[in-house]
Amino acid sequence: MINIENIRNDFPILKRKVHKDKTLVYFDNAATTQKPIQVIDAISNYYLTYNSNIHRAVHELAEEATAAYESTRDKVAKFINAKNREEIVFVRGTTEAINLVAYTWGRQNVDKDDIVVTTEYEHHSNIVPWQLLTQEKGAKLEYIGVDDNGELLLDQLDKYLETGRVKLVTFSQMSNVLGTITNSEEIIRRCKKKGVRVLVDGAQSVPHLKVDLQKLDCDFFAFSAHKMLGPTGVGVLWARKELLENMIPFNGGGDMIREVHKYETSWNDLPYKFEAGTPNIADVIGFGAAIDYLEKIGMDKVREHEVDITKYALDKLSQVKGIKIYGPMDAQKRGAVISFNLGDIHPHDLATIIDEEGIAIRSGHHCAQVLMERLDVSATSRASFYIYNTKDEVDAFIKSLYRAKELFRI
Amino acid sequence: MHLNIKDNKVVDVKFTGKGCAISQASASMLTELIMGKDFEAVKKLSKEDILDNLGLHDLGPARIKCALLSLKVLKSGLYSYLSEKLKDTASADKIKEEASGLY
Ligand SMILES: Cc1ncc(COP(=O)(O)O)c(C=O)c1O
Repeated sequence: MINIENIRNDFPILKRKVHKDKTLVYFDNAATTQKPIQVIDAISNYYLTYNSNIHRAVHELAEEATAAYESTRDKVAKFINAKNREEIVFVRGTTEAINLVAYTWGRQNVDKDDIVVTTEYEHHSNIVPWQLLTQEKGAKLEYIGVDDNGELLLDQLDKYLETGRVKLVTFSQMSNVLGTITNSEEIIRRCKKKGVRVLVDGAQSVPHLKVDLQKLDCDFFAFSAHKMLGPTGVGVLWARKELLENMIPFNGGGDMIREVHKYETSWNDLPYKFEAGTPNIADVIGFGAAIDYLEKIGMDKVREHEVDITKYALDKLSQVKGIKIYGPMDAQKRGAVISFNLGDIHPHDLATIIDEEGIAIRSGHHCAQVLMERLDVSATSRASFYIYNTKDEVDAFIKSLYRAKELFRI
Repeated sequence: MHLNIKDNKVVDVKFTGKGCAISQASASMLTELIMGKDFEAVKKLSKEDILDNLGLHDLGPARIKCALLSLKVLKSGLYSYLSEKLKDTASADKIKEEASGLY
């Protein structure tokens, strides 16, 4: 088991009080996680001691900054077991990574009457870019449905694949609302048989599960640093080298070029072809420290802790009368994300009431309005856990739900 | 939100909606506030009027949207009424601007 006390000591924010004297219970980790002191130090250390631009200058500061920035690329490649470091492209986040693929590969490869397949439990960032693309091209966007247990209806995928018109299947490896862990290997296997490309949104999976890209065998993979102890403003697009080589650039500008002439330009090598302009150097360096932190704990230990606390929370929550929990009830089949509704209390009201006790949960549509429609609700409340959360905190959370029930007389 | 305006007065007003307690309370309060009022007075209603009447002055940026949702709906409705029925583009544009600046 992991040593939660030691871990908690690395997170200065967990010591602050909210609403004057309430201990903070942070259960909004699916939105963004807190940052350990190691990450904060790595960022401030860059600004304090070797701040400079990268890749160009030859002075010592630039050498140090370039080395630190590039070392994060190696750490990422190892963390997700990518074959080549040059397949790791730094972007602003999952959203930008998916948009990059839609604007470059998508524009080059999706034509009229082609089909892009997504799912009903996607985040808006894995729906809207494909709407824009398919509308522009006169292509079609189709959805794999979700069953009442919160799992994908894979028969529907087969139906789409049989048309022979599918160019891309794109899905989240873990739902940010239901917590469902997608049967990714099976989807990818079926797509490969038909020669169909696959994009996996790893925003919720990489922070919580061991991800092995060489085993997974998808074509594109996207995730964000800020959901895995790292800073905001950094994310990763991974794509197969052969695909990246044939994709047109997303942004044009400095650093992504080899030679620029008046009317033509040749592109820099991978991954720099996709990293135009001065990147988010400080936060990429901070991201490296976040990966170090997770590696030190071990992703198997992270998962073990999350299954433990999720099982505990599911058990306690299901004893609350009037609660409706969404997604699989088996903690092994889901991540540490629990969406629910309590009677007819609106999630915003519930979140406000329990916030008075210092407990931070998320309420709303979680950028998943297509799923909200499928569940036939306008919103849900969502509690999501990470490595620093404890069962005592879950108890405090459950107690606050009973208080809300009293207030609303349900 | 449905308004019936006769002789420049609001003679009937109703709303339907689902949402959090603040949004529902403010919508209900707003209908009471404008019932029987002159159209001109309704046009002038401001953010402060709503918050005063609700007695909620320290709402954060997330929840103030809940309190102002119904006023936003009302102003958007008045915009359609002014531009389509009364053909008063100047007033319509002004109220549209007010509606989009509510947060
Ligand atoms: C499943 C999923 N995909 C994509 C995103 C978007 O990530 P970002 O906002 O970091 O671009 C999120 C985060 O909210 C998410 O949970």
